[in-house]
Amino acid sequence: MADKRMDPRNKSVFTTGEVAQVCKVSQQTVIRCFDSGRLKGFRVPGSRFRRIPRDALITFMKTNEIPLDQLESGKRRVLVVDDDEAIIEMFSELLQRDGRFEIRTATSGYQAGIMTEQFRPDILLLDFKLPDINGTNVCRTIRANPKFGHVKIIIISGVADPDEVQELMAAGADEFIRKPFDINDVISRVAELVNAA
Amino acid sequence: MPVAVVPPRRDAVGTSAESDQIEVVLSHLDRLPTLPAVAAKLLSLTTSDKSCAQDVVAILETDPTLTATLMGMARRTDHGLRVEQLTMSRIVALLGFQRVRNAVLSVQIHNILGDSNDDRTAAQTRQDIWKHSLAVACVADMLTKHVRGADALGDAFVCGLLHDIGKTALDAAMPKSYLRIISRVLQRVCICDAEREVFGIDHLVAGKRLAVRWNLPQTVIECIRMHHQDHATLPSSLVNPDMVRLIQTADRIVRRQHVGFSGYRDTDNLASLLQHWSIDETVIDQIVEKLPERMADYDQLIGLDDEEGRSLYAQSVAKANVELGNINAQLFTSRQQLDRAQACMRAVGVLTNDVVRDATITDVCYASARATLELYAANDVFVFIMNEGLCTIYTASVSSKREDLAAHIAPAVGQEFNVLHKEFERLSHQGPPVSAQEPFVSLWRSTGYTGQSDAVCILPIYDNKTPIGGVLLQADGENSISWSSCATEWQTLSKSIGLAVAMVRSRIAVECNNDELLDLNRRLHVTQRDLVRSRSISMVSEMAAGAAHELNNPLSVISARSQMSLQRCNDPEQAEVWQTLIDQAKNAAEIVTDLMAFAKPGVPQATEISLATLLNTLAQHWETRLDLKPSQLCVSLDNPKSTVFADSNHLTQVLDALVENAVFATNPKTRQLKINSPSSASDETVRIVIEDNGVGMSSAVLEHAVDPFFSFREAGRGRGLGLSLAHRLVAHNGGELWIASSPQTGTTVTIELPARPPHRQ
Repeated sequence: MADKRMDPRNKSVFTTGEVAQVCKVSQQTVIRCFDSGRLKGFRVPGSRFRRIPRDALITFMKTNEIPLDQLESGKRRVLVVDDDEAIIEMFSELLQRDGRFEIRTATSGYQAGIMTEQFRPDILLLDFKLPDINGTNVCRTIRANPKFGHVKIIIISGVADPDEVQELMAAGADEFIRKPFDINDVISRVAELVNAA
Repeated sequence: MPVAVVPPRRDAVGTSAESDQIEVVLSHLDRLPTLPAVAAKLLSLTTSDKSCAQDVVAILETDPTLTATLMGMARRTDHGLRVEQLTMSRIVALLGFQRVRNAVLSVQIHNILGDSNDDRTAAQTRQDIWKHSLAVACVADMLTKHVRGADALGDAFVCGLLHDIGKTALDAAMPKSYLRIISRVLQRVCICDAEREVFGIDHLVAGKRLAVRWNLPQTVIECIRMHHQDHATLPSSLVNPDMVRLIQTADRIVRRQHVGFSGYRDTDNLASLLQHWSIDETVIDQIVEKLPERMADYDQLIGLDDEEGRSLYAQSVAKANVELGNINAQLFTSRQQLDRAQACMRAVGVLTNDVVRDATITDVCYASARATLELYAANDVFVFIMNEGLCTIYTASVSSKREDLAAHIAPAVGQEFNVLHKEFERLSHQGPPVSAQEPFVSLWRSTGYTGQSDAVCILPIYDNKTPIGGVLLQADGENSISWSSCATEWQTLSKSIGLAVAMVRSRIAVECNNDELLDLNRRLHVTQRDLVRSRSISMVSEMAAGAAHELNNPLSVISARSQMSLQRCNDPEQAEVWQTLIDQAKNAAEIVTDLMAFAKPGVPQATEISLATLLNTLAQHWETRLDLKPSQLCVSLDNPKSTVFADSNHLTQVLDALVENAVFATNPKTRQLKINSPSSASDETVRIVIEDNGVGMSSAVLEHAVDPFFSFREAGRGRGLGLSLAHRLVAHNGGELWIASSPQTGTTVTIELPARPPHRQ
């Protein structure tokens, strides 16, 4: 099994060699583009090594109509956020078994924020009651960042109070699923929201 | 016999102050002159002792005054005598030794004690005392002729003459003090009591003291000392008890004739004394007839007065008559007072009779009016009592002219109160009685009074000095009693009325307080119950919210894992197990949902709902969900257009819960459920009544029926939240829910909710 960190799908900063591999062009071309400013990036302090952030790479590839296959797996990224390990495990197994999803997990609101930044999920399965930051705030923070405009959010909670549900929806959630739930129902709603093939 | 001075002796004992006083009196007595030799000598001689007569004559001749006196006496006896013919021996022979002796004694003793140069009253009293003593002496002397064995008794005249010597002695010793005693006696105080009051000793003791000092014979001393003693109980040690009785008899006869002054009026023992002597009234009559004549002798002798005995007698009788007249007048006055007091008592009686336990102020007014009618024998009476707090006047009027004492009882209220109250304030400071002013008479007229207004007076009624009302009285009848003659009685009645009003007021106040207390108690009880309930509900809410989260997670895991396992499972038996797990997890989740719904029902989104539509929809729903046959459920509305203003979800939950309970409580074979909406007393509310013929509830169960988690059903059949939730939701929607139930009869739950939005009221 290849090192996950080497997988370009997981990397956030690329070398010029890696960019050449992802874009299927020569390293010289990449260096030329970097030096001319068409490919945004930075040099490693104290050396001349060029580094390209993932965002800049994606923008570059989109601008030059280079297919993003090498950068993306094709599987939809799901971030499961819940403070209950059993729930996390259950969701992980459920979604894994389906095969269409790539899954990451977080057990607190803070962790959910970091994972969103790193993993760039397509969808969040978010528990409403988290030990540190509640679901409404997580929702609101993600929605406040235009970078994550495309991220879908499903709140999954035992809360039944319609007022609270309404508040969650107003904070930017796309769906609300009551615990306990029908597994088929959850899978189909997730797939539907992220257009999983 | 030589004259001897006997040293003073203590005859009375008492406190030191008293004994000091007595000592002073006794020393005064001791300072009185001793008995002159003549009198002493004469006293020592008995009537039979004639051998000494010559000695007496010799003594008498030495006293020119006495000689002159006796000569005058002899001449009056025999007018033919000439002065030059009279020798002392002849006088003694003519008058008899006894008469001479009696005369000399009288004069001598009178000279010692009866001398007066005081004012007229004192002189007159002294004379009267002497007159009484003389009269007793004469009567006693005369009685001896009618009494058996009187000869053996001794000298009745001397005993009679000296029996009241104590009075004379006290008077002579302390004339001013004795005048006080006389005035006390005239006020009907017993003379002995008066004397003891002033001197510490009475005339009996003083007399005895003097008698001992004068060496008088024992018989005389006994008469002095004992003449007030009951004759039947004289001490056995007496030398001559019959003499004492004789003197007592004479004393009573003289008292009866009102001759002189004895300080006593009663003649109580006379009858029994006469019985003792076996003499009858005719003897007394004879003696009394002779008395003036006998007394005349001595009167002139002593110079008591110049009137003839007859006129003296007549004067005595006249005096007695005047006294009788006075007594009669006093009796009449007393009777009048008694009559009025009786009328007052009758009036108070009427009042107290009429004011029963639960009387009102108006009742007291009526009773007061009747009582006043009774007291004054008036024709019309009007009573009013003011109540400042309520600005109310309670009135009642009665009239003896109209049939059966017609009563008009009505509390007068309104604007006229202020006018009346102001007027009343003014009048109540004037003092009774005041003539009634127009507003009061008008008030009276409003109850049907038609009499004159100028003859009306107001008598105020006081409660503890505060004027609280009054009585209007029309006193023009011939039989009516004037106000002033009954002032005291009115005060009594007025106080009684005031008291009755105060009593009724305090009773009413106590009742009000009681009612308030009861109401407060009830409200406190309800509040306490609600508090306990709301506390348990808030605890349940918190618990439910926590439990919902905590339970839902494991339930989700169980459910999801089971579903995943079921999907992978090929063995039908295994699949069934997974399915059971899934179902149970779902059930458990529903419990949590119910709990949360109960804990946080959410703000009601009230709308106006047609009751008919709602109930018909729900009826269909129940028929399918609760396996309820159409014949078992009867829905009826008194008003088909009834609406209810509530959150429709809440109301549905409420009705669901209630019908579900009713279904569970009834036997499927006999089940009969009725839902109806009776027309409500108010348009603003609507009632829904759900009635079943189920097992019902005992009062103990009923008490907890709306408590959360209290389930009457078998274990596992219900969560015990149905009624509780219904109760909570109804309250949440501004309504009320109450339950009536009895075991084996069934349960009736009534919901009352607003019929329409508040702003449309």
